[in-house]
Amino acid sequence: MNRRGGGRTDAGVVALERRWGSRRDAHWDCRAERGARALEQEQQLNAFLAGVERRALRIAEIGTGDRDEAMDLVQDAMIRLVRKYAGRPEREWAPLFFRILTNRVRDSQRRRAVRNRVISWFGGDGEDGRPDPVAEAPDPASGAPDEQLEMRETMAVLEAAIRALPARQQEAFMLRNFEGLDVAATAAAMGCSEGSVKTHYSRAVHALRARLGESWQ
Amino acid sequence: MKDRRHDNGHDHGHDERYEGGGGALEERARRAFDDSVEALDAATLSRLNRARRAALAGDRGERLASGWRPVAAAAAVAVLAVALWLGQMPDEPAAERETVVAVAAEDAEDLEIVLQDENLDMLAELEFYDWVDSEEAFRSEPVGSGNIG
Repeated sequence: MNRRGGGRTDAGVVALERRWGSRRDAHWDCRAERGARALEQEQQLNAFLAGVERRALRIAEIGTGDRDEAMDLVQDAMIRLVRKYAGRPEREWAPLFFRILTNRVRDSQRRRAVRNRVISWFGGDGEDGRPDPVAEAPDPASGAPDEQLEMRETMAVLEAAIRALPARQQEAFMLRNFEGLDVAATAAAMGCSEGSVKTHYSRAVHALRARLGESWQ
Repeated sequence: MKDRRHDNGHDHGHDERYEGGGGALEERARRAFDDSVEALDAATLSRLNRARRAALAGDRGERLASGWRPVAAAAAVAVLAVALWLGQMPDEPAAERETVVAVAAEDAEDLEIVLQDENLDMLAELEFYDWVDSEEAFRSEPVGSGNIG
C-alpha cells in the first residue's frame, strides 16, 4: 500500500496516532460503559415487563374479548416500548406502556366494530365463530373446580359489564382499578387531563354499580 | 413474580382510587381481576415470556443494525465529496486545478493510512456520537408529547 516513501508515511501514521489515540481510548471506555448500561437497562426492562405483562394481557383481553388478539397487542406494546422508549426514565415506562397498549386496544375495538357492522349488513351475527372448546375447558392447574367456576362466572359478569362501558370509561376503570396506576399516570397513559380521568372513572363506577346490581355493592 | 404496582406511577393505597364512591364494588372487581390474573394457564404464561424475550432480543438486533448506520453515512459523505470535487474540476483554472489535485493527493494519502489501520475505530466513534444524539433526543422529549403507540 505504501508507495510514496516510508518517511512521510511513518510521520503521517505518528500524527494520526497522536490525533486519534486519546480520543480512541476515551471512546473505548465509553463503549464499555455503554455496554454495561445497556445490560442494566435490559435487566430493568425485563423486570418491568415481567411485572406488568399478565395484568396487561387480561386488560387487553377484556378490551378486545379475544385472548390471542390481546397477546398480539401486548407483544406489540412490549416491542414498541423497548424500541422507542427504553431510554426514558423507569418511572415513565408504566404510563408509556399502557398508553401504547390502550391505543392498540382502541384500534382493535374500532376494527372489530366496523367488521361486525359489515358482517351484520350481510346477514351474519357479527361474531367470529363458536367458542373454542379447548379454551373453554377448565385449567387443571388452579383451584378447586367449584371455586374456579365461581371465579370465572364472577369475572365473566364483570367483563361483560366493563365491555358495555364507553371506551374511555373502560380505560380509566381498568388502568386505575386493575393496574393500580395513580391519576397522573392514568392521565399520561390515556393522553388526557387528570380531571378527565376522574370524570371517566367516576362515571364508570356508577355505570357498573347500576349494571351489576346490589350483589356488587 | 414481583408485583410492581407499588412502584412510581402506581397507587400506594386504595383511597385515592375511589372517586366513584363505590369502594366495595371496586374492591370486589379488583379481587376478581387479580384472581383471573393468577389463574392464567401455563401455556399463556409461556407465550408471555416468549413475547417479552422476543421484544428484548429485537432491541438487541436493532442496536446492532443501527451500528452500521454511521458507516453508511460516512460512505455516503465520501461519495458525495468525490462527486462534488469531480463536478468542480472542469470550471477551475489550470493553476488552481493543480493545487486542488495536490491537496486531494495528500488527502488521499491520509485516507490511505487511515484505511489501513484506523478505519473501524474511526467509524465506531461516529457510531458513538450517533448514539449520544439519539439519547439526547429521547431525554428532551416529554412523556405526554408526540404520537405514542
